[in-house]
Amino acid sequence: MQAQCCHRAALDRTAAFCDDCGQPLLRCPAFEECGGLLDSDGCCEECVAPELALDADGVRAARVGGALSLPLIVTNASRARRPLFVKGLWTREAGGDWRAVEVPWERLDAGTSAPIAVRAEALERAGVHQLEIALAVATRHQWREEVLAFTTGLALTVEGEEALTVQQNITYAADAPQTGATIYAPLRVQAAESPCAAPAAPKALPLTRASRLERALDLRGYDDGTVVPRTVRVVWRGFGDREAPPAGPIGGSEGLLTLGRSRARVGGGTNDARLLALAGPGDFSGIDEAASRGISRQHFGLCVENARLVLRVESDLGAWINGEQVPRGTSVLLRDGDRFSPIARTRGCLAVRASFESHHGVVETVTLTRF
Amino acid sequence: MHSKSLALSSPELLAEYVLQSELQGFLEKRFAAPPDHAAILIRDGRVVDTYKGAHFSIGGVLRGLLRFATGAQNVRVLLADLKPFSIQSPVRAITKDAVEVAGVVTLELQVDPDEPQNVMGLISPVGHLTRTGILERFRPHLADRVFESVLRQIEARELRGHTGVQDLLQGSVMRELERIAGNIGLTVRAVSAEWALSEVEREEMRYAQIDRQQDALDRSLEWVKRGLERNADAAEVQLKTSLDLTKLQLDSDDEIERLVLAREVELLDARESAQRRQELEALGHEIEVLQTERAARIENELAEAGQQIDLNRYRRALTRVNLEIEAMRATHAAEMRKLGAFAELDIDERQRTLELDVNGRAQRQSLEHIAGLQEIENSTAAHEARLAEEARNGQSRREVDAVRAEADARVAQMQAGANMSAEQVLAVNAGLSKDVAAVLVERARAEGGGHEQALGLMREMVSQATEARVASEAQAREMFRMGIDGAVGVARHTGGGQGADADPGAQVSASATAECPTCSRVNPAKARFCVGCGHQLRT
Repeated sequence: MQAQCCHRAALDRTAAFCDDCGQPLLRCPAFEECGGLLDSDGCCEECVAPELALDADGVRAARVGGALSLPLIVTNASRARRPLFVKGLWTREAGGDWRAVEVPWERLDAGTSAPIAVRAEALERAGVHQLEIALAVATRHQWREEVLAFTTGLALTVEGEEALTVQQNITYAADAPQTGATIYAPLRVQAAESPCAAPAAPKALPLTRASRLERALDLRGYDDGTVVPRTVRVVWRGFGDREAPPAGPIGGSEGLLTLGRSRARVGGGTNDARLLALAGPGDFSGIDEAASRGISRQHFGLCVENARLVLRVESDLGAWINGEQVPRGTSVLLRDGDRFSPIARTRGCLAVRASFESHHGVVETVTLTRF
Repeated sequence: MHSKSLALSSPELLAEYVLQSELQGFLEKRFAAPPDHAAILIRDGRVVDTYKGAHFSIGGVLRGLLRFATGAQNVRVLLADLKPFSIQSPVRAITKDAVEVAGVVTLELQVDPDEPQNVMGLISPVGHLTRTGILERFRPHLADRVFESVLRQIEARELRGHTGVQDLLQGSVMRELERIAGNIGLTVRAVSAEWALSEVEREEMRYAQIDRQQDALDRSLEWVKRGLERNADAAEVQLKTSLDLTKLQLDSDDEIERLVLAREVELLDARESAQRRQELEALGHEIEVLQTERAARIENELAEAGQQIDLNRYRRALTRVNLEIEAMRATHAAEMRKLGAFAELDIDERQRTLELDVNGRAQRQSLEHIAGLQEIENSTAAHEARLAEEARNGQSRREVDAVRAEADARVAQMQAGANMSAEQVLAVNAGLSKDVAAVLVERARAEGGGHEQALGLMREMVSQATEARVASEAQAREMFRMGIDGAVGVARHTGGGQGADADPGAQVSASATAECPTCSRVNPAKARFCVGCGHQLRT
């Protein structure tokens, strides 16, 4: 969670860093509505505040071999009054595989709750079992969506059949021959029943952010486990003077970089980087005006979404990504080495390549090189 | 001279005129009519001749001179297929019992071989006659006049496989076509109809299927009955056979007597069995009693064993005390002997007295020890019980307190979340107190127009209040009263959307600003880092 000085500095929409502590300001994509900042894992606590509780009368004890159905309540406690979208619910016993639970609803408005039942499978051994519950929720703003997963645990008591058995054999015999017998008569001492009392009020289950589970369930990050944090440093290469911002994290009030024909902010415009077709490769002295007219004022949007670098095509003319045409309104996952260009005619003299520099599975620098 | 064989241009055609281009020429042309076709030579509108499987010639120098002398002549050749052909037409009608039936009627037709020239009446304006053209021409005449009228006389279940119906249909179609096309070269050779399944037939089939299934079930039942009867008969036969064998074995009075005795023995055995069963039941009851008593005795023995262990421990302690006393006494006597203070008699007397005294004291001490230990044991048990009860009570209190604290925290959280607006959250996150946040929200809502404007205004006021370190509600109200309203007015202007993207550095006076050496952004002088690039401006 960012410091109070960062919250104060974030009030200046043009500020990218805190003037007091120098940390980059990680604004929530819905900053205009919530005014919140993201934590180190990319979660806005103003928007994403799910709560999970075991409903009243939910029993947590069963006999050996039985199954248990747990009534849960999911609550959206967002202080910013923003809705949450439940993307999935999973359960597993300790060490087992995650089982998806079908959730019949998706949207959960702020301040509202919705019930859902979770089933614990056949419990074959007596003792205390741990049931893990994973909840994936999403917050949306315009076309962007951030999915986050949380986990919690619940102890289940499984009671055995008996506690003590005293073996005794009784042998009796009558006067007549062959009338004796031996009777096997064990004494069973049954333990007093101690069922876990059902809570009279909903019992809150503390939720913990599950970053590893997010990667395992393919909710965040790339297939190979690499993640792009919100603090990733973007380096611009091959761009002309006053056509790209200095190297640094993605700032702005929405955490979105825009690229297009309009001038860059460092040059007094509205884009983060300016894309113009040059007369020749690397020749910034001349501009191919005919080709540049095929570039929209705001052609691309670049942002970090679900710990992945996402490129969105905003131009009606579409774009070419790795040689394939992509229509307007398409969000494409950018990987290391991907190339994109605004229009076909300028592929030879205007293309941008994204290069990742990562350590321990975390991308620290994204270099956007213009060709 | 070579003859050109005439043929219809398409297998779908029944008759067509030969093209004029094939007929014209200055020299004579010879044509051959196939044996199953008729070539009708027409000159100046009159049928000159009809050729079937024959050769004929047209034109030539002589006829050309004649035509030149007498005027132009129009020669045409109509080629007609004389083979019988069939056309099919779907038919749908209502029967006598008001059931809709459908089917396909096949008409076997042929151009009249005797007067093929009459088919000219059916030739279309484009010069040919097709089979489908014939069907389309006659279908309206057949639909109601023939099919409907014939089928109206028949019931649906009598339709299928009824030769009379087929004959009636054929006769009716022949009469109708004779009436229509008898003089235009067409003859009807045969008419047949195929019928689709009607509703009545489907029901009959279903009923028949149900009957068959019922018959199969009846037959299965019959088989089962017969199997049971066969088994019963076989058992009966076996019993009778067994009896007969027994009778056969009884071939003497002695053996009959033995049998009677055996039955008596069986009777006695049965009585004994009943008696034995009663004895076993009594023994079972006794076993239960013994079991209960044994369980109780085991418990008593366990308790007594515990007491015996305690007593043994006390006895060992008593023995140890006695040994210590004895050792002390011996030491004391040896010392007294060394001193010689007492005579031997006195010593013996004192020794006896001492022994009695020591024994009495030892007994008293042992009794006191036992009583004390029992008391300690009792008090320990009571203390443990009290501790256990207190522990349970403490656990319950802790659980209750935890649940209550959790509920209170949740209520407080819900209330806080419910009562705070987005503007308040924004101010509280920036480090301002709730009271100050309330004042700012009140001001922002009063000054701002819509929600977005109020939020923008709120951001500016929170920034200013944070810089001014406003900590209480009074300070906040004082801030507005002292004239910061001017700055707020500027902020309201900014929040209102006009010039929202203006550089915030422009609002700060030049003396209170510092330019970043890296990105040239103008920052407040007190800023430690550049808000544009994060460069450290001062330490």
